[in-house]
Amino acid sequence: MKEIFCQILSMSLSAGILILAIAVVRFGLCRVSRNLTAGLWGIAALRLIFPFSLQSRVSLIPEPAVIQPEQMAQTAALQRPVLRPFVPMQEQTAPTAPTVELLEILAFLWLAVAIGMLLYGLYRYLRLKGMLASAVRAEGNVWYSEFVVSPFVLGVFRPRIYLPYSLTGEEVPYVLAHEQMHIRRGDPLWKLLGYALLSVYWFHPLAWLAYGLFSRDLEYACDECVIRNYNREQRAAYSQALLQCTVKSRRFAACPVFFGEAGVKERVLQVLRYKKAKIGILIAALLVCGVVAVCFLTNPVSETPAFTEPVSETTGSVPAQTPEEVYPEALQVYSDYVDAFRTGDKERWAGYLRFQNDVVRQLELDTFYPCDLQILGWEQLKENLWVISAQYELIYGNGRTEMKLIYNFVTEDQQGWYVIRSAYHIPEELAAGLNLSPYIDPDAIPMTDNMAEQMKICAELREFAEPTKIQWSDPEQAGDPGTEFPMNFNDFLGSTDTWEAEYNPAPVTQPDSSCQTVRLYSPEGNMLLIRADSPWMEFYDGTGACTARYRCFAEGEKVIGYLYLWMQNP
Amino acid sequence: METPKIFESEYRFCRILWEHEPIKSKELVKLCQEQLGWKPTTTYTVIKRLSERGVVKNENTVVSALVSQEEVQAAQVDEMMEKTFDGSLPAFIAAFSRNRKVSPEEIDQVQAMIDRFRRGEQP
Repeated sequence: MKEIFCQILSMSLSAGILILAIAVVRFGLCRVSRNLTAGLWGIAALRLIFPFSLQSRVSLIPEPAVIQPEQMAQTAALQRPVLRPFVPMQEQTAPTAPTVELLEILAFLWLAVAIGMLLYGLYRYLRLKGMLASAVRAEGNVWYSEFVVSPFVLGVFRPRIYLPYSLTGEEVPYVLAHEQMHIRRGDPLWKLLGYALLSVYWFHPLAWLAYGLFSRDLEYACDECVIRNYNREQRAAYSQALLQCTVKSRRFAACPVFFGEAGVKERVLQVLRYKKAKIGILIAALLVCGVVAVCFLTNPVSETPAFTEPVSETTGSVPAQTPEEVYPEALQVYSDYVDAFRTGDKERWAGYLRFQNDVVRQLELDTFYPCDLQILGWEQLKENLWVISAQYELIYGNGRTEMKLIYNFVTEDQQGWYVIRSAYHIPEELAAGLNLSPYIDPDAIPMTDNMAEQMKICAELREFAEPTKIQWSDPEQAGDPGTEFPMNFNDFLGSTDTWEAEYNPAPVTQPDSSCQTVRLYSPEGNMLLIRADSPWMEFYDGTGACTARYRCFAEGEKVIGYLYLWMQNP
Repeated sequence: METPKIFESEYRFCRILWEHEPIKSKELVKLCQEQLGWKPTTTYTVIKRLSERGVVKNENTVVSALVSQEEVQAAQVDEMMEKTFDGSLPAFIAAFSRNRKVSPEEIDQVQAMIDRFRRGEQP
């Protein structure tokens, strides 16, 4: 409810400006066509109903005055872009922010009055309807009732015209012409819509002004439609009917309920003075209305989108927002991803990521370490792209890595929401038009196609992690691996560091008898030849053909030494 | 006995009753539906209201009048309405001329305007 209230508040701000503009334009147009001025209020209604997202350069609505439920300022002393601070769910219920409580009270008050007004309207309608039950039908949709003082139309779907019994003279046809015109124009519905909007925006003084002027314009417009083709005599008679229906009162009390009510004097004057507007003037007036519509129905084009110029360090006070107020899905997805990451729920974690292929996916799962991620802030870059800054801390065994600031991204594809772990991996079409440089971690290794390739090689080599047979040319001659291999052979095969592959290599020369070699046979029946005289490891399939060569960061000699060491202490 | 006062609509109803009394209430309902456009419930409500005021009686679903046409006078709308209806309409109703109180001077002014217009003067 709080969110709706804030939405209503910010909509009422922009609509207020529109109402003022219409009130001014209307002043100029009221001698041209009352139907036009009545139509202008339709623009205001549109603005009050729909939160417009259309942008236009000629918009005269000020920069979107976004009213945030929490104006709590928070300084974030981070070096790179300061995103909106993230306030975790559990903190927002803390009664530390009195503004929130006040806002809740206001929101409640707003809703209570709005519902009250609608119920009061309903009550008045039902009471009137009850009194009109004994109305007597004259003909068609025209009814007489002693409870009617002045003629009116009641009902939206099957509107009825109610007349007082006292109305019997020659003014009846004019009154009926007016009321039937109301029905033909659908005025009962417009009036009801206006009242409903007034109930919602009851707190806005300009909404009352708009409703008053709108009611007045509706009557004027209806008069105009009726008298358009009347001659002088008919117009005089119509005016007489208007006067006839006005109640004389001993005590002259200006009815304050709707200050915009059209007085009988003004209406009669309009009828008597009516001249058909010249077509040129009418077109000009229409143009003015069009300009008003374009200028006030659209929102301004954002001059400084958040993503091109991230908030600098100096402007560290950004209103905090709770995840609920933000686009909930994006942050919820990310929170869940973080949770899976932290608790080591690998499958769930992987479910929020997109991998190049299944091999890479499996590799990442195999080398997964839980990680502590703390969400620091967020920013919406595009409709479907969010950047989230977080503190990243790898947990391994009992230890933790140093805390590190990272930027992750959340977006959506056909399969749903997912997390992008680095700005490098944002799909091209999503990255278009964005300046992502502030979010790129200079320390991070960009995941390149080459890297994906390397991971693929690792997956292939893993075939040999548990060889069925190892053939040494001379194990005793194995060189010293030194300290360059700080991991076991299994991990070595799976390490992506600097693998390079050459598929369908040129004919391979067989190592001579003096060259030390190791032959690993995989369960699939393939063979990997590691030779001391070459950095390349050769891959032979079951038929004995060499189909690929892999180069590691180390000389073959050292690889063999390393393999030997591993064999000694598996 | 004081002359009973009835509303105009009730008077229209009584005219039907005088013409057909005594009449079964069911038939009266039918007549009112045809001639006045009333719903059955409205007719029954009016019968009940007028019985309470001693204008009609309803015995064993047969309705007859207790007063004659000459004895009844249609009440002045104003005097009866003060109590039941304040005469103002809900805001959302499109009215021909809202029941805004206008001073007699203003009415005279407007009347003069119309008269001048009729004589051919420009307003």
